[in-house]
Amino acid sequence: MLEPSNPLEADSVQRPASDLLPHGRQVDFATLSSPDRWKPEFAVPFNQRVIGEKVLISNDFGDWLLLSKDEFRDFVEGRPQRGEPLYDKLVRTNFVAAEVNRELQAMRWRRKKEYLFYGPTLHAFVLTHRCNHGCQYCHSSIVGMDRYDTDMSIETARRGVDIAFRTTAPGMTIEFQGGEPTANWETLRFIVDYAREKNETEGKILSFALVTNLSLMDDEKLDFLVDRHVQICTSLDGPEDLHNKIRIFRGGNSHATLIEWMQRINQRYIDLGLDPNQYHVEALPTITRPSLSRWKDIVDQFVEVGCRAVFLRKLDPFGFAAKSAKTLGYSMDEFLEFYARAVDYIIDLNRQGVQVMERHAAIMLNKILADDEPNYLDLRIPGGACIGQLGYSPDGSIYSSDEGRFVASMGDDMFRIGSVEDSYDELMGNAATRALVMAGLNDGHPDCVSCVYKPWCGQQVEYNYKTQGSLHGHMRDSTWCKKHKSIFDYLMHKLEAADERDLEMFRLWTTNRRLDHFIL
Amino acid sequence: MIFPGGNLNLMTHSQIESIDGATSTLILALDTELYPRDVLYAAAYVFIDRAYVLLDRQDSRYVVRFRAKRPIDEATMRGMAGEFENELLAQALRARVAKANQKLIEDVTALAIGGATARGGGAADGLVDLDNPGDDGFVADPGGLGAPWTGEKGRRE
Ligand code: SF4
Repeated sequence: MLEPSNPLEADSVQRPASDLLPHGRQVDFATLSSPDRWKPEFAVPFNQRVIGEKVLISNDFGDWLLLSKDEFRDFVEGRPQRGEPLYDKLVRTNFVAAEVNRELQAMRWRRKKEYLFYGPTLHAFVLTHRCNHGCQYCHSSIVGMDRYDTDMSIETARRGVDIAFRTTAPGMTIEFQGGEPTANWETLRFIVDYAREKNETEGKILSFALVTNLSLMDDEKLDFLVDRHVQICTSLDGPEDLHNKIRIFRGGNSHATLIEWMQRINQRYIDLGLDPNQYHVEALPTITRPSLSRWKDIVDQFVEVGCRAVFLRKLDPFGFAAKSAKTLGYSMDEFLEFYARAVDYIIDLNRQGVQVMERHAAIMLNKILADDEPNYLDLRIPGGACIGQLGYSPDGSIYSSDEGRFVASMGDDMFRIGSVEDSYDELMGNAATRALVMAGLNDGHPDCVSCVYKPWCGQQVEYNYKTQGSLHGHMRDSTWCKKHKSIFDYLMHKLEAADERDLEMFRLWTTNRRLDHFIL
Repeated sequence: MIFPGGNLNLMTHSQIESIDGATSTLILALDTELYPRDVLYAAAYVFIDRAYVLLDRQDSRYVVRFRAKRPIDEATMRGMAGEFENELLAQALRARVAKANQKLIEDVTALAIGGATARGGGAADGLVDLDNPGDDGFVADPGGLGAPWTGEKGRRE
């Protein structure tokens, strides 16, 4: 019996309440092996967790194995001998200390942690706080369309771009956010053209992304965006009734406008000869209480508009979203149950030949199955605050991230690390930046150090601060940890039970094709 | 005896000292030489979402007091004692493997970082010694950001 009886677990913040999400457990050592039989010098430091009938082990290199109970006992007791299948399996996955090739692992470490050797790659410019929508969950400190005083000026934008280009990263993305960023079209145009001009001498791998509700789009704007290779992303919460219920647009039907423009933009990409499977408007749903029972409708809507990925994100605790928590909010357990239902449905669709994936799962599987590091800023170590991304406010303030700016919009400047008046070196080297980076390491967290998912997990200091009042947080009763541990558990149980066909499907989810058209 | 070098006459695992159903309190004791203190801390930490945990030392014994955050019955508290013992074993195994081979991980990390620095010096060049950081400002904390956080959940002190 691998599972210790633990009647308290049902009360634990660590365990999802729903049976839809099978959760991992601690190995029952009392019945497995006695300490006098252990042979610690045999093994590379590892962590373990019971997954179904197997024991999952992982190491800091990112290798993992699902062992039978007997295999795990033999491993702990250092019994496997050269030439035996178990020994070979353990050597291939770098669990036998005497067989580890240090140089090879160092190269692998460097490949996966490449982002540590350079500065921020994502530069999110908030062009204005104005917006013509009144979405109930909106993070930002949104103001009416006549509040031009909240626009980013050309001069502030110029200084911001100058700082962004100081990053030591070879590649960078400038992302436009708001409010509704297209409301400050003049500054958006300026940034794109100024950055492109600057890049002629800087030679960075440059890309632009626009996050827009598409309601202010017109042919002239679209011509510009297509001509300058700006990738367009939007917010789509699901079918019309669900979307319009939350994303309130007094100027018309938000959903209808959005779908019409998505189709027109996608057609423009086809006209350019681009593969519509790769090139289309990316959409993100925000999951609110009314979404919870609509998992199937949401997935179907995304498939219908040509999206190949659905990113099921929990409503976060920042900005207006926190204020509307009572009507739109839900518990982590409710979210996880929704997540499992939606991803189960996505898997079913895949089995029927429909190509669609869940983005969170794809990021995790990328790390687990493809030994890759997609540099998703919320799921990397250290977290992306400051050294992975910077958030530029209309007034010129610079924040650790977009989330840091959301915290500021709630009246707390904790994550303001400087302004466009500062130098890049001052921003990257100041005490606040250093503290945020240190707090974003999971090797410093008591729970994470012994967690089997540590090689693939990450920290977001802003979330810790907002939900637990501490940059470091305490993972044992953190909903951040619960979310990630539960999704990892869910995926590991899927992998444990997967046949070749399912494994192939999961591998397909990890295939990243670079969108070269959007890279300058 | 979980760690080599300990006294063979000591008790071999933690033992229940008392269970109080009225206050949902469980008290366990174990010999101090049975497990290093870090192992005890790590095992105790696992319970902090469900119980208030107080660690104390009385002569040659550690005393671990759990008070559940919600009322629980005696059977549940006995289950908790079993889970704590299991967690001690899991953490002890981790600690023993780390003691034997943590150096390997450190070597790989140092090689990876050292190999990527422009200086091309020793593997650990460029790394700050956290035990002796000097006055390069690396651990300077003028804003008090690193101040210990012990306040009520959700509040900073
Ligand atoms: S946050 Fe939770 S799931 Fe992630 S490594 Fe830490 S303990 Fe594990």
